[in-house]
Amino acid sequence: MSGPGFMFWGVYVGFVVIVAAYVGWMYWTERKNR
Amino acid sequence: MTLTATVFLIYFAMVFAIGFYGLKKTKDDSDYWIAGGKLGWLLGGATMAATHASAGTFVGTVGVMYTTGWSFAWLVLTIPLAYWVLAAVLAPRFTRTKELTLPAFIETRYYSKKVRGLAAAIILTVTVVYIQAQIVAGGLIANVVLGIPTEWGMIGFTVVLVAYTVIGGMIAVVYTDLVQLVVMVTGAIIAVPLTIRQLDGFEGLFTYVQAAKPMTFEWGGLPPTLLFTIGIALTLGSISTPEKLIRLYAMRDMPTIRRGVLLALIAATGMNLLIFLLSLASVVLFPVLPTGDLAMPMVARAVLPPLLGAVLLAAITAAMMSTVDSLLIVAGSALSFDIYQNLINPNSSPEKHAFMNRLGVILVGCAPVILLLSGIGEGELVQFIVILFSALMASSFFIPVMAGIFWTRATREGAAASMLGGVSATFLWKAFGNPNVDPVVAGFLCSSILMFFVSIGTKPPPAKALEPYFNANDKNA
Repeated sequence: MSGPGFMFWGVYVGFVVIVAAYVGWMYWTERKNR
Repeated sequence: MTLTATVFLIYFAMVFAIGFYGLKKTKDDSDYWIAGGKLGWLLGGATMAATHASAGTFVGTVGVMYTTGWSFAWLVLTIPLAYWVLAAVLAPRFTRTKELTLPAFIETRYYSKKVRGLAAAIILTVTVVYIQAQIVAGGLIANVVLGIPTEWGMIGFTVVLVAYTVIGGMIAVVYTDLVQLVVMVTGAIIAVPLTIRQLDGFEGLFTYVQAAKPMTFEWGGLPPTLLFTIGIALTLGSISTPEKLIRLYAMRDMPTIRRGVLLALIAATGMNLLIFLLSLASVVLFPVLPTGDLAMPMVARAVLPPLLGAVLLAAITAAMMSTVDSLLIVAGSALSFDIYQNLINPNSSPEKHAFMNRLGVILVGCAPVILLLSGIGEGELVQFIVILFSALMASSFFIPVMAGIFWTRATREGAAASMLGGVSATFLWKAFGNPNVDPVVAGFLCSSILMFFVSIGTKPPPAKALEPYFNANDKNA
């Protein structure tokens, strides 16, 4: 797709990556505590 | 007009009904200020997200996007990162004691009623300014929606907000926040595709934006130092604002907090990302506006079909109201719980508490609108006031809270100096400092340095104050 590329879509990709990492951390913490 | 008015009437009626539900459920101070401290993740996370998304999100962002371009959008990634720190680093120790307010935590950890009073006084002052910004946005919305003068809009919103918050306290706030979050998300999700379609999809949007404002997708819109330091202000502010911290007390336990924070970070960040698209579109659709703060109400009126436009306007209103009601709780509790009941009249009866709690909320609710009507505190774009609020809260509370739970040597004198120094340095930098560096840098440095040197220069804290936070046997996870 033409347009501003990374400058634009990077924000959305970054968001998804952080949410995925948070979910991973959350399950890891709870497994560890069990 | 009548359609919009009907949507708003239904919405207000619902909010009042919830206010009375809150009244029925409220039995004591804990219910009134932290909803009893037993919230599950859905209510807890929803109230966090709804409180985070303010009039600044819906109304203010467009103004900033218009003047500075897309580089500002990258700052939104500070929200999930800050929330992660909140859940992973701060919450496990901070919630080992269950307090009703942030100043009450300050008293428990810093063994001083006076330092607690100081914290309450800072919260009270700064919050009133922030509520003002939100009320101004409310006035603008009422002006566009109903055609009434801005002043009447401000008074009207204040009356509605203060009424349901006074009646139902925090219980009313969390339930209305859930409803308002649903309204906000619905409004944003409906408005975005319709607006983008008007501009021939993403391809069209990019082309039009490039033509209307070529610098939008370049990094130079804001000076890099400013972009970076605003990022710091928003990160620290997202972690240490009192309305966020008391929501940790309001939730049941740590697993609940982790899930609630996940919901909050998805909803708050996701909503911003949707609103950014509307902001871009409005740069193309309404290139000449007296103030950027008007753009979003214009999208609602001119771009969307009437019913959906009304929903988007209700969403903007919901964003404003769900933030102000939480701030009313924070400022009201600072006034009646932390200042009156703590310093002035410690022996008041529970019946008197119930009355004073509500009087506190009424007083802090009326102050902003009275100040505004007398001409104090107008001006600045809403979003910049939101950022200043973040900076002030970050430079007064981040260090005292973090040092309080991680550094056994932090003393009450250190905490007092840190709060006062932080808030003063932020104000001074805002007034006289380099405008390309956000004032949070000055405030945060000053707050850290004072905490460190004053603490090591004064008598160490008593063991009793440290016990709840540093007892290794108690694993709150």
